[in-house]
Order: sequence, then C-alpha cells, then structure tokens
Amino acid sequence: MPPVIEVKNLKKYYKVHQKEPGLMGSIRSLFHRKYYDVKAVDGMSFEIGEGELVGFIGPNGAGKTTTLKVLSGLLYPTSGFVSALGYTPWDRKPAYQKQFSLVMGQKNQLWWDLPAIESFILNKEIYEVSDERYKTTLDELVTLLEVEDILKVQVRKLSLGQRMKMELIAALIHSPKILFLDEPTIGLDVVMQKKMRDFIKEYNRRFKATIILTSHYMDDVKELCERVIIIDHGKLLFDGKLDEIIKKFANHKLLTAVFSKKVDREDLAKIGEIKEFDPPKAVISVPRAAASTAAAALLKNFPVADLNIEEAQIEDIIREVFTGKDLA
Amino acid sequence: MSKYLRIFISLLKYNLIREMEFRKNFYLRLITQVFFVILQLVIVSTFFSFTDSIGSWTKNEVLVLVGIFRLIEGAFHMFIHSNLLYLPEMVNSGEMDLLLSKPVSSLFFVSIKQHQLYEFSTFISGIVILLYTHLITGLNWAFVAFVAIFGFLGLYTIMLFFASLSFFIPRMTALSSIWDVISKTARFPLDIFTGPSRFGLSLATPLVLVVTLPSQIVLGKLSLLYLPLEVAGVLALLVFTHQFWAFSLRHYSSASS
Repeated sequence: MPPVIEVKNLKKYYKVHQKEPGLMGSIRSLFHRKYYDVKAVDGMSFEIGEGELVGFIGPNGAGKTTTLKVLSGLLYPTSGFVSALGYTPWDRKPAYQKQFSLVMGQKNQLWWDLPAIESFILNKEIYEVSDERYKTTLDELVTLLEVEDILKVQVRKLSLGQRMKMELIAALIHSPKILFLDEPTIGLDVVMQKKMRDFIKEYNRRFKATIILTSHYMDDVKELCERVIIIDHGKLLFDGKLDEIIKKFANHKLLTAVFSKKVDREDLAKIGEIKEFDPPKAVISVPRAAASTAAAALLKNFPVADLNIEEAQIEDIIREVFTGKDLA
Repeated sequence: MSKYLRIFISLLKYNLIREMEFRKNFYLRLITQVFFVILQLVIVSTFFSFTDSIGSWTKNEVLVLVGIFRLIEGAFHMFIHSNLLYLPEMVNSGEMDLLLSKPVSSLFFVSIKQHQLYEFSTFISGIVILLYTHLITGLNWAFVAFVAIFGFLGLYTIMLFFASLSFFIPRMTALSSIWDVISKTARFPLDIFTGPSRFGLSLATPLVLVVTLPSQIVLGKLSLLYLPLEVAGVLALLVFTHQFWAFSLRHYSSASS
C-alpha cells in the first residue's frame, strides 16, 4: 500500500535579518541590513502509512511545526518533494484540503462571541458536508468528547479545556483522513490532557485516520504514538518505534537500590554516577554493558534490601539527545 | 445555492448576532455615523454658499458625487474595510494559518469575514442624498447602481493591493493611514484640482475609477463612451490584485509557534 504522506529531502529556509544591538544598530539597519538563512527544515525525509499515529518530537525551533505547515500547504518549501494523499500540499487544491485538518493548540478558529455550534455550521458549509453526514459526525464527536451541554454556550465563556474540545470538533466535522495536531494539549491540566489523549487514540482507532502529533508533553507521545520522529535543527535524528529510542540512544541503565543500613555516598560513587541520593534510597547510573556487574558489586558490598535495574526514562533520554550530553 | 453564497449568509448571520450582542456599542456607532453625515452635508452647503460652482461642478452635482461615494463607502465599510485593515495583524500573528488550510478562497474569506453592519447608516445616507438630488435633476437609478458597483470594486482592489503588501512588510501599521488618504482623496471630484496638485493626484489615477468617473458618467458630464473605460479599468485592477494576492501568499511565512 503506498504511503499516505511521502517527504523527500524537504528543506525550508527563512531569510532573517540580523540586527546589531542598541539604537545605533537600529539606525544602521534602516539603511543596510545583513541577512542570513535560518534552516527551519534541512533535508528531512520520511513516509507515513494509512492509519499511523506518529509523534514529532524536538525542542523549540526544531522544525516540527514548520514541517506540519508545509504538509498542510501553508508554506512553500525551499526545495524537496512532498506528496500527501497524492497531492502537493502547497498547490492548495480543495480536493486535498477537504481530506485533512490542522489543529494548533495555540491558535483557534472558533468565533469567540458565538456558541461553538455556529462555527461548526460554518465549517459544514466550507467543507460542503451534507446535512445528514454533518448530523451523524457531530453526534458522534459530541458523545465522544462529552460536550452536549456546552454546545450552545458562547466560546468566550468556555474553559480552555472545553474550548480545545470544541476546536477538535470544528476540525473534524468533515471527517478528515489526515489530522495534523500541533501541541493539542498545551496549557491543559493533567485530567484534560488525559481526556484529549483518550479521544485522539479512539479517533485514530475508530476512523483509521492518519495522525501526526507534535507535543512537548512526553506523556502524549508515550501514550499515543508507537512511532516517533525526532527532529532537531531541522534534521531528522531518529525515526522508529518509541522503545527503539532506548536501544539506540540510551547507553546507560539505572540501578535503584534501597538500603537496610546507612551507606557512605563516596563508597557508592565507586559503582557509578549517583543520580539521586535520598537515604535509604539511591539511584545510580551505570554503563549499559556493565549493568549486571555493577548490580553484583552493589549486592556484595552494600546492605541492599531491594534492587531494581531499569532503563533510563524516555524523557531523560530525549532531553539529553537534544542537549548532546551522555545519556542515562 | 452556491457554496460561497451560503458561506456569506452564514457570516452575515454571525455578524448580526455579534453586533446585537453588544447593542450599546451598536447604537453609539450608529449615532456617530448620523452626526458624520450631517457634518458632511453642512460642509458642502457652506462651500456653495460662497460660490455657484467649483471647477465644472455645481452643488447638485457635488451632492450626486457625495451620494455615490456614501453608497460605496457604506458598502465598503460594512463588508470589507475592517477585514483588510486587520490583514497585517493576521499575517504577523500567523492567524492566516488555519484559514489557508481550508477549501475556500482565502481572498474571499479574508475580505468579508467580519462585517460592520452599523455602517448601513452610511449607505442609507447616500440613498437619502441621491433621493434629494433626484428630486431636483432626476437620476437613472439603475445606472447609479451599476457605476456604484464598479466604484466599489475599484476601491476594493486599490485597498487590497496595499493590504497585500503586509506579506512583504512586517508590522504594516501604515495601512490605516493609507486608507485615510485614499478615502479622503477619492471623495472629491479629482478634476477640480489644477497645477501641481493635479499632477500629484494624477499619480493616484486608479482613484478616479472609484467615484469621479462614475459620477461624471451618471451626470452626463462625460460621454457614455467612458463607461467601457470604467468597466475595463476596474476589471484590469481586479485581475492585477488577484494575481498579486496569489503572488503574496507565496511569501507567507506564518508566525513561529
């Protein structure tokens, strides 16, 4: 089966002017400006199949949102090939636009002074959804998101979480085959984040929609995405299953020990790098290959009451990939 | 019913609901409009209390021009003005993002999303002024409507061109000043100026298409042969600004998130 989204050597450079600091710098820049290229996306290639739920992760300015914007046809790339459902996104063909949706956690499309239902009706007209299909889809989404009682409340009177639910309905009223979710849970409390994640998972399962998700919350990615694409400085660092990140990037393991008697921190440091020392508990990072030897040494030389050997936390691994530090 | 007509009706409905939601503001703006119209009439009457004509224009002819301009300005303010003035903000803040991802003409949606329906009073004042002049000289209303539509389109294309520059000029706060210059210049019969000011105004030739030329044709001050010139001029501006819009969109860089 051909991929739904195909990206080859995608580049998007922005020309940005460089301003020297201070008033004189500003005056000089009125007459003479120096420009340089910002490589927002720098030679990215990947494919995404039908029904996949893929997480884009990377630090701020990594190129995640720019990639989504090129895939949605908002931006013209500097170079490269992109095909989504067989279309070139930046041609902005209505036939393509009717099959995808873009949800941005920091931007809204709902009419602020009107109940959300009015924005849904407007989108129904824009996407030319039949009355029958509109009713079925709306009923289904309203039930899934449990928002029956707030459909007729003005958007400005809704909480952030309620508004985000309404944004999702507005974005899904035409049953898109591809869904681009840019930080959909940003600013939401943990309960609402969980509800959103449950919804996204269920939507993907029920409608076989292909979903690309960017998020700064690792919980979103861990819970939703089997596959992740790690981006930094516009380049693709990793594309694969989430648990493969650990194999690829984590060359350390964590030994978590609980001691029955007091232990000396300096003695413990001989085993490995102490990540946490909170007697009677300590967490020690050791090279992956030496994990069993280190565990044996710990059991032999210290009064260990309990011992766990764990992989490093995915959040830590990714954070350290981006900061270029050693891992674990 | 076509898709765009349905969208327009939905937008009209939403804007009406919104305006009525803030009814005190609605009434206040309505009253301001009435005062503004009275002021304009007083100014025209005062000028003509000193002279019978300005250039080749009599008081009644100037009133026809003012009436037609009020029609155009009223319709423009009701449906277009606030949207085009807001375009630089949309471009800077990245608000265009969601709009550009939808299967609808971005130009259509950007131009008519927000309505200022209280400006209906401006439109009505134009009708009142034209009715008054009709009683004195008689007017062909179908003809007035025809030229007013083209004048409206002319004004739209000129403002759209300047608004589209916001894709290239970050923080284009000059747009409201540009509108002031355009609206204040277009409302006068541009052929009354002489000498250097006339030369200066010749740089603003497209503005002639907004109200001076339509009024001159309606009043019979110019031959009907100028009508095709008006139509062709406005259509050429429409094609040009449409192409310029498409070109500008290629330069849309969105805002970083």
